[in-house]
Amino acid sequence: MSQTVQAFQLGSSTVVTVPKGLGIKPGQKLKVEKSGQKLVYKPQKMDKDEIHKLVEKLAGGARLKKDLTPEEINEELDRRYEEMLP
Amino acid sequence: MKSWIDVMKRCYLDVNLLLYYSNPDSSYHNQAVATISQLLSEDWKLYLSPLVLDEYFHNMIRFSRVSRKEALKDLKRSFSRIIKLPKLEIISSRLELKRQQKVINFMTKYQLRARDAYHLFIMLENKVKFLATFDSDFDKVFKSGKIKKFE
Repeated sequence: MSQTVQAFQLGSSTVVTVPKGLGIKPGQKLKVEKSGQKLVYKPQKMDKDEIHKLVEKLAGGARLKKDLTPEEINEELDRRYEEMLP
Repeated sequence: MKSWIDVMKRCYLDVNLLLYYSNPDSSYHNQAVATISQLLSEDWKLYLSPLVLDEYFHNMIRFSRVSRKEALKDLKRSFSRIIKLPKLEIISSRLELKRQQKVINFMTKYQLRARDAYHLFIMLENKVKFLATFDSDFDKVFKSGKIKKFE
């Protein structure tokens, strides 16, 4: 995959955009190395603590029934299907 | 070509795991956080399907303790967090009509509900052999060895 992107100035940094198709997510850390004329970006692996912190940070956001059981979830989905029946 | 490890470390997330992950008040919340942490620490790839998302969106409104308007805001917030999880992808089944018959075979063979059989079909079509779930609906499938429960 080869695409041309254009760098631009943002404050004191030069920003190079990454095409969406390369699968880099916002906030992801990358290690950059210069190898001759090439710039090599490698996704940096997070350690266990960093992963756990990120997963905790991204959790939550909902205010659902406190004691919701897996069975209740299934019953609700079953009920929804049954409602669709003629 | 996909390596054996690529195929092995692929896990489908059940809707109950996502709901507990999004609901900090659930008694399963910490377990859901720990499961996702473990998966990512061990370099697993995580998969959802449009079917899982439909169930997630529906239940996020249905079981909300707040008004529908607030529940929709919660849903937007929670889902925008989930999609920031690394190594998370969405998969679907191929759209060949004949292949869909497998869903009926799974319903018969493992006595699954239609939607559970469809989840299994999507998993197998995409070579995802593990399921992270809190319920026992797939126990028969786990026993058969067709897929495994992530523990």
